[in-house]
Amino acid sequence: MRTKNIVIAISTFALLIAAWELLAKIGAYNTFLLPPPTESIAAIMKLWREGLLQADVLSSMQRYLPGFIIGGSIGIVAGVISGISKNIQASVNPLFHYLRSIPPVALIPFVLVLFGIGDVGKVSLVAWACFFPVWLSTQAGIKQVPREYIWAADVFAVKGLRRVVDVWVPFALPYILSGVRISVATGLFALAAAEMFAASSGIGFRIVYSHQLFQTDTMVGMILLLGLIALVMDQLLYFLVKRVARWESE
Amino acid sequence: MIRFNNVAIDVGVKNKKKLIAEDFTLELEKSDFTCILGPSGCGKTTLLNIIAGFRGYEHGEVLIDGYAVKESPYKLSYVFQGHNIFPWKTVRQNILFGLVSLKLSQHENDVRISLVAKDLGLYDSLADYPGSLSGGMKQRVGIARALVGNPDILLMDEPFSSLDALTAQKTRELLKKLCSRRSITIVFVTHDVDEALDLADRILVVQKGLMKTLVDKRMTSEDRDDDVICSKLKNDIYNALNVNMSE
Repeated sequence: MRTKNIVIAISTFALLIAAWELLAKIGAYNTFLLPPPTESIAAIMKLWREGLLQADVLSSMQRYLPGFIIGGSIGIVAGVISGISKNIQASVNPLFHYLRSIPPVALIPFVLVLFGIGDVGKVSLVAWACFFPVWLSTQAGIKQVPREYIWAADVFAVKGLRRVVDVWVPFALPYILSGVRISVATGLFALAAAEMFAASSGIGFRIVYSHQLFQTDTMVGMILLLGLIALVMDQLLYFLVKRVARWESE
Repeated sequence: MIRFNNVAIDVGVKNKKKLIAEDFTLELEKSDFTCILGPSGCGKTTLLNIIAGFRGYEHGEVLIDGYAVKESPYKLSYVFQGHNIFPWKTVRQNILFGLVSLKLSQHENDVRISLVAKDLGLYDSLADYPGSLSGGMKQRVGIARALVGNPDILLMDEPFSSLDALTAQKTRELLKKLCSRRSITIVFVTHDVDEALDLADRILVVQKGLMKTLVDKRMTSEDRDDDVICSKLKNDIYNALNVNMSE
């Protein structure tokens, strides 16, 4: 079943790319605005040979991964705390819902003022963007823990951190995962936007730079690469959790 | 051992509270296997939850050997009706959960888990996750977790209600065998009259509406084996419940 799903997914991608290529080749639209996939891939390969692609991806990942890990980790901890304590929930929820509705892109000028054009600001912005989906999903998962599980912990006097690790978090794990998977995309979105504003390397920088030079093939290629990175990270997370949450498969 | 003195109990949420007991009095003896029978919604589970300290009551007092519920020095265990064990823990880890607070040595934990797992036929499944177990085995894991810490009081809320008749019968036999070897006060809630007749030293039937004891009957092992006594008691219970339901 799993293999069948992979085949279907790959076929859908392949079909879409083939249709795009075909439409470009038969001149169905202006290929300067949207170059065919083969040209976009060729542009990316050229960057690879020049060593620019590796440098851009490395720069982006050096900003993205710390932000993703910091934002996600704080999101899990905050979600667990606000999910368990109704008082904390009542005090932080309105504030967090207000803050999460501010688009990270709108914060870029403020972050630049605060941290300058270095990587600290970009890492902070990614962490900010990753925090809210993880916090919200974790809190939702913790709130769903059946009372019988909490009572079992009460009866057997399992308290404190042990209760969090043994009962709350394992139950909420599927919720946490869905938040983390959403944050993969929101984090990349914030990163690309920040790199477009103020950076001299990175995927976001390359997209804007190639746009300024009218290199639409490179621009489209880098956009596709950004999507590919998000997809790979999402699948890696999926397999990681499948491995950790072995009980789900039994 | 466990006393309810003139207890009043409300259920429901803020504006839709319903009084299910007023001046309710009950005494449960030490080391007795007491079955509480009654129609759905009469408050059987609420009684267990009060004894466990999961919920409060409006007035009166509930004492365990003279102690308030939350101050009782007695070890208490609970077998829940649903969500009984943790699906993310193996059978061994689930049973170990009943020992965590005792802070025993690794060796002592292993010995206790092995003993209870052997008693309940779970020894070969210790490394399995509950997802791969049958309903009967899952329920036995819940019982193993409840018994492994050698509790003084065991509360059981319709633990066999989701099992098929044969599995429920087998698990009941196992429970009887285990309990005969230990001195535990058991409060067992059920709506199954035959189950109560099969297990109990004492059967209490409570009515729906304002909680009141309709039938209070002690059973010896001879009584349990006597078809005439069982049949008469069964009739008495059904009559009491029918009158209560029709009122």
